[in-house]
Amino acid sequence: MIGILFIALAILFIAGVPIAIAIGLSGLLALWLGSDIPLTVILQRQFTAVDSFPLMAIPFFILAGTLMEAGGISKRLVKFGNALIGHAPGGLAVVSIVSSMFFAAISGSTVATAAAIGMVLIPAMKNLGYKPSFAGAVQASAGNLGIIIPPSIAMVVYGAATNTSISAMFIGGFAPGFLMTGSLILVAYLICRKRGYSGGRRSTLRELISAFHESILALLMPVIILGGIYGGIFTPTEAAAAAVAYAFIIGTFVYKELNLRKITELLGQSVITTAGIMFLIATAGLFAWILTRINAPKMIADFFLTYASNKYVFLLYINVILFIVGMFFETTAANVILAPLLAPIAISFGIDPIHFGLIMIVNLAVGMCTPPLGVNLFVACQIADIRVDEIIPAIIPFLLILILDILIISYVPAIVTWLPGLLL
Amino acid sequence: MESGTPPVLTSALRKTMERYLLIIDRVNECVLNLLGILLAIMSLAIVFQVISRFIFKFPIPWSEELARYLMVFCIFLGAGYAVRRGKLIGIEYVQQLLNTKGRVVVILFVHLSIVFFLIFVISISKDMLLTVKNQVSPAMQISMIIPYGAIPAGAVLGVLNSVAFIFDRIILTDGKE
Repeated sequence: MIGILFIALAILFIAGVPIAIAIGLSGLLALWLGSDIPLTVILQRQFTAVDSFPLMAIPFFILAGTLMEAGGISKRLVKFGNALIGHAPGGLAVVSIVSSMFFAAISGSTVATAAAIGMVLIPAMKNLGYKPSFAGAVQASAGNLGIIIPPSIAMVVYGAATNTSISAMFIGGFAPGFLMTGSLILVAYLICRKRGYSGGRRSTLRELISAFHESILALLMPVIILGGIYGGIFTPTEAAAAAVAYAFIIGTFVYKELNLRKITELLGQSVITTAGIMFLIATAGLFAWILTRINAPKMIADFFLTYASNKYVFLLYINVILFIVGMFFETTAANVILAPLLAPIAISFGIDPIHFGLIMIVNLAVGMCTPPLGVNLFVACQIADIRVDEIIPAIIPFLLILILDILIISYVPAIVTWLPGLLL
Repeated sequence: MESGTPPVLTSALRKTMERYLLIIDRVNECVLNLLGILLAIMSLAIVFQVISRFIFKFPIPWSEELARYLMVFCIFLGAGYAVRRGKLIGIEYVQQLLNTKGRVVVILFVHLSIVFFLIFVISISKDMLLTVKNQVSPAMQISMIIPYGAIPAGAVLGVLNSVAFIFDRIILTDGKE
């Protein structure tokens, strides 16, 4: 059964079968040809994997982000970032990272962040004479912040898969998010200074205030979400629904960019994005269940207990494995399948489940901008109008600092656990 | 263009395929609009749940269940729709390394895999629906056939769309974009 499972998966994967179908079909073949378990379980596991209230935060965060974006929010955030820091050397690169950090606070996905901010800033950087590959690399790596700064689809998925508090995950993401923002800015700044990429004109105080005024309503969204959760008013899912209502009200009555026709279109878009992610969760749920049936959790636990003498060695192994998985595998599927396998082992090594969740998510996020299969790289290259092999040398310095960040986050748990411990 | 086949038959076949695509895309448009409405109702249900509990101190017993089942429909029917647009995420790295002919073969393999999976799902759905026929949902007291029905419904749409995709991308355009 295990042979069929992995051989089928590898073949379907390489041929380019959609990941959700590849995972579901290999699970189906393994059950059909390799066991006598009744096949209705295939439907049952898919259904129960997504019939979940915590996971409903995903469509809501997607819809809220889409509504906000249609109200022209990425332009406003970029304008604010530009007024704040655009005058420094390498200003636009730094603006792109800072705006991505802001955008990450209304979006739960890396690709959405890379695309929304990149669409505005990559052409702007090219116009100022930045090398297109550098502009793309800055945006591809800054897109990662999308799932590290809350809200985050990956944290919802991890929380639901391991029964970890999604609220605590959200708050635990802040400090790692700031660490990564700061280190990406440092690298971008050093490269820009060396190459002599200049900044823009310093904004006047009046311009700064007006830019802040224009984007304040968007920047308030995370305050409402997190404030509501920690004030005990909302569950994370309800907070996400409140974010939808907020984005709708702002887009329709304040920014006046939404009408019925536009909203119909955005609802459709959001449904497709949701289905793409959550159909994957459904079939990955089936796959994860089969792994439990063939005793994979125990095999993996035995492996680590034999070869990892303490938690520091364990963390090193885990980081290497997750980094490689992140390079080749889709984030959501990896989360649904691996989180329930690995989190209990991490806990048995004395690692906090929230800390472990962040380690997983940061690794998988960095995998999104790692060649050859990082989706963020593809998005950035498409916007910058360059080939993927051209961006590879430019992304390397950013990858190196992100790997350093991963190690810091792994070996200094307080970065993750301090804030949730303080607030919860 | 296609010199090997009799032109009359080809053009008749072509017409049928084009008509099929026209119909299926009309269906898709309706499905997508419907799912958009379901997503809007989901959002409203949960917003009202919060308002009702927090302001009127009166928790709505059915809002969460309603929203969950609507979401299930959005997921499975939405996935069926996504097949038509090639919106289910896959790794097409190897496909890009091939020439046009090789790519057509691989894309056919991809869609045959999709169709195989979905038809298998449809074929086991009957047993599933018979099992849950007499179960009712805890809050709304509706038959569990309704939420579970989303899976075969989405699978049927997916099969129709996979066929449409093959017509559209491989036969009518000779594998070119």
